[in-house]
Amino acid sequence: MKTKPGLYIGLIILILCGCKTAKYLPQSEAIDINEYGSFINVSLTNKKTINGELLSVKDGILTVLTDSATNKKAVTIPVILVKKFYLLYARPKNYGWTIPVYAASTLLPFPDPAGDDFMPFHGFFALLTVPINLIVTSTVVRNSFRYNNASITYEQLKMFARFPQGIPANINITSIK
Amino acid sequence: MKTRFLKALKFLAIILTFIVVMLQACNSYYFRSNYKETNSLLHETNNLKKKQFLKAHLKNGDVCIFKDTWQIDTTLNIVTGNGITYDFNRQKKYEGSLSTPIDSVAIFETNRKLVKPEEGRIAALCIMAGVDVILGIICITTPKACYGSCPTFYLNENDDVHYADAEGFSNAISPSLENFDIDALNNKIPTDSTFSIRMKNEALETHCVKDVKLLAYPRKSNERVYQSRTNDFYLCKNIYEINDASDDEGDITGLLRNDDRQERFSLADQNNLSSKEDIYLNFENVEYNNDLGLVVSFRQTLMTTYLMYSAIGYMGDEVGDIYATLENGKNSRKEFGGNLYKELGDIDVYVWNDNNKQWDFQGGWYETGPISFNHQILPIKNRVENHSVKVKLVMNKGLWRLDYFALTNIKEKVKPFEIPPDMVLKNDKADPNALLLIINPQKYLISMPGSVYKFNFTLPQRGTDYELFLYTRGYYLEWMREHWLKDKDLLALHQMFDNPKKYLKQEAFWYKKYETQMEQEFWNSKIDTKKSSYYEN
Repeated sequence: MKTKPGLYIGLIILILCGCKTAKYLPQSEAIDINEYGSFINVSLTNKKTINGELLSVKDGILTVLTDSATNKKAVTIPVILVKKFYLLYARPKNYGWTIPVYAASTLLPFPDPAGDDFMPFHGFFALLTVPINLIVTSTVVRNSFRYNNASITYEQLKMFARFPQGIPANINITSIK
Repeated sequence: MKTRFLKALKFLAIILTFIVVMLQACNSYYFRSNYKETNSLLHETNNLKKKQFLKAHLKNGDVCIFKDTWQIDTTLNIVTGNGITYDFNRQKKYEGSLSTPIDSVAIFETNRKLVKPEEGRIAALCIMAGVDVILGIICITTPKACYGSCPTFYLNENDDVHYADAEGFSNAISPSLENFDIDALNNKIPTDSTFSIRMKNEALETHCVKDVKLLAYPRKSNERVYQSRTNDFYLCKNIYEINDASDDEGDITGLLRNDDRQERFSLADQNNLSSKEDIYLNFENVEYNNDLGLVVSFRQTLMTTYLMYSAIGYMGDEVGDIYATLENGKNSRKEFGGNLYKELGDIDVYVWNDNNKQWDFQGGWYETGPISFNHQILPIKNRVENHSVKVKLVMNKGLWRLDYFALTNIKEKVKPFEIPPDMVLKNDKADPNALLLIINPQKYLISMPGSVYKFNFTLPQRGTDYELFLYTRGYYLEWMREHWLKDKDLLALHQMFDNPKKYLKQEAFWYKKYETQMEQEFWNSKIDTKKSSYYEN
């Protein structure tokens, strides 16, 4: 049974890398005392993506403090250029291990009808269940403490910004760290 | 396989959708509130049993985070309490007792504590784990569904492998072993002049099908036509049920009295796969005791499947050479498995002779295949003097699954007529080429894994009840699996065929490791026992 292990391993590495969360995100028990804004990933209509801490949502403009370690800066994004976004408001417990473990469980060797050899636990269906397990577990890992443009309005999105009232007039956004 | 695959896909898609919806539902829980007005804040939080932490976002960009002891003084217009103040870059400015003028606050924020925030994810992972286990059990309990066997035939489109109506040429695992097979379909009264049956390739095999046709014989009420092991057909009437049946472990009457898929089977001897066992059947009140026949519904356990796969595994990378030798020599063909089959033996039938006080041998049944039931008859040779008939069965322990025994009166030997298919559909689309291949005696219809062919037959007289049998001819090629190659053991192969008695003793240990998992699960998985035979009056 060829299940393209290279493809799956690559996918798992990609997913596990994607599980790395921003340091300023609180644990779920500490969302009420966190002083920062939530993490937001914004996909633009020009196919660019911006990641970072949500600073404010005001007058049709999103302000995001980018996560770049070398060039961390506040950028403004007109809502009209936003194709989609997702937001993480807490750091999930790491269930990343379930991605490879669940997928691998479907391939566990089990005595086949010959009795003296082994077939995957799910037999031929492993071709189907391995990717299904990868999708479900990665969705579970990815989907926690998360909103996206389909589940939240810009008005509600404001509440997850560092400055829900909007960036105060006295603050120069280039000075925000 | 394709339909099974689609069903599995549908099932998994439902589970997947359920999990995603569940996770989305978890996300729809809004825990955060913002208040621009102090009155709104007081109004919303006054009735809370446990006070929430309060964030005051100040107009200058600072934020004050108050612990749950905060108070709002509407006279002095300040909010007080213990907490921390951060500047706009979220550097800590002050920690301790805070007093913040309400006029300096742009927005108040409260957050409800998330209750068991991981619950949804854990539930989703549990569901997925459950689905994985269920699928695994399905694979264990219906190994053919996941691992493979020979061509299967179904009268009902939606039946699964537990309810296959026939298995085609189970022994014909190479071109030189091409053979025919006749299976009683145990059919109901046909309601239409068109009779359909589906042939599926649910395994990693190439099925080379030379012929598929129906054998039919009209029957009246209270009549059945049964096939003998030698493919003679007997028109019979009257049925005499078992009064009691027993084996070493006790009473098994309930398992063998009705044609209801409630089977009696035993596990193999842990020291010898060719150990024998006895079953005793007792029939009372046999009204007409002349020309009796013993009717049976039976199939095999997975023992022969295990042995066949073992044999191919032992051939290792020489499987092609060995098959070529088989193809070229008649003797080697006869030897192939012949001794092993003799060692495993038939279901031997004996009838008690009251005159000489001994068991008289009547004959036996043998049909390879663990999937569909074989419905056959064995004419009783003994002249039965009274209305009580005692039968003894001697058979290999752990090899047979027995569903039903009854006595019947044989009216006459008959010859069913043949009905070739007049239409073949592949995956529900008419396939005239497949029909030509089936009708032409020199050609083969090649059925690959996942293929489903539907054969339509026209019965001669509408409204007439027919006993139907399925005739199939062909052979199939098991696909060599890569991991079998390392099992090459020609010595074991020779021993299996040349000295099966010794082989079956040595192999018992390994088979038992397999049997305890597979056979027991297979037995336990038979949930819908009410779905009995197709012949129900």
